Amino acid sequence: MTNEALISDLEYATDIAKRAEATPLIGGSIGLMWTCLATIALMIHGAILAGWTGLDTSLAGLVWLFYGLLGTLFSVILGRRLSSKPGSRSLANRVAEACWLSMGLMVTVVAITTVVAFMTGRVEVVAFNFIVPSAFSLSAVAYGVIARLTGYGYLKYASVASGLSAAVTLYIVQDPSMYFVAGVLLILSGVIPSTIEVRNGAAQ
Amino acid sequence: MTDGGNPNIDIEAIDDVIHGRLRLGVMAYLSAISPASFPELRDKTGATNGNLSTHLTKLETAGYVRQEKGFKGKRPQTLVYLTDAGRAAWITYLDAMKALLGSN
Repeated sequence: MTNEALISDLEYATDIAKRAEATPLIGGSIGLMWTCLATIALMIHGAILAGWTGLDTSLAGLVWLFYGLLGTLFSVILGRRLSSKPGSRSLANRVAEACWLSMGLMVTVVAITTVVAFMTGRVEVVAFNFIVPSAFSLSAVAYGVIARLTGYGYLKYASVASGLSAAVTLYIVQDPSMYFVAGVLLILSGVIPSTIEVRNGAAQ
Repeated sequence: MTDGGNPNIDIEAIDDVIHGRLRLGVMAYLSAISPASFPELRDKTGATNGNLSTHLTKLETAGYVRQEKGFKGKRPQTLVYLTDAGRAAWITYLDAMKALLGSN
């Protein structure tokens, strides 16, 4: 075997390995779906609290129930398609999946605990508002971990934007307009990064 | 060993199971993405079905990869995993390559 043949084979292998490493994140469509649904839910919640819909404020819980059910259903449908895409089992994609699954579970735990605490009279209704900054905080961590792993700039931006959103919504947590503000902040910190991720995946 | 007057390397130091061109490509891909589906590996390495199957069998016999046949929905699907032994052999192979090329 000559050096030229060996080097040619190694270049071939290096090229394959580099392309495998450069596999983009493929979960953008799921992220886009969740962030769009959450933005809509936040806006509807804000509208109910503002009295624009004529609905009782207790119905805001139903909005989030539908959000959870619809989001889970669409996640299953989209997840089936994504799992067969090339690169779906790259380290970055597996870490991203684990991060978002953990984040979703923790938000669910916080939400259910708040409902139970409210129904047993241990907390006031304002406790529900704290779910929003909690979710932004968890998103900031998830985006930060994935950004650190992949080096993607849009994820660094998303992590910082989510962290700032957590701070802003926590600052105005007792104000009913917090839900509208959170909706706008989610467009900036979640919908836009997810859209970039979808475009990157499509360009693969 | 000589070939056309080119400077040569010590082939004995190279793991021949890995060093087939296609097997090298498979190991390189699996080192980054494992498991990978059979069609994914075929497309990324530019192999044909038969050729890839033959080389995967060779890697599997050496214990470097593991093939798992199952179903995705109603369609059959083969997933190929890089084993711990395969990852260790891959690292040893790369080290051997660095040493060999560095000595030339």
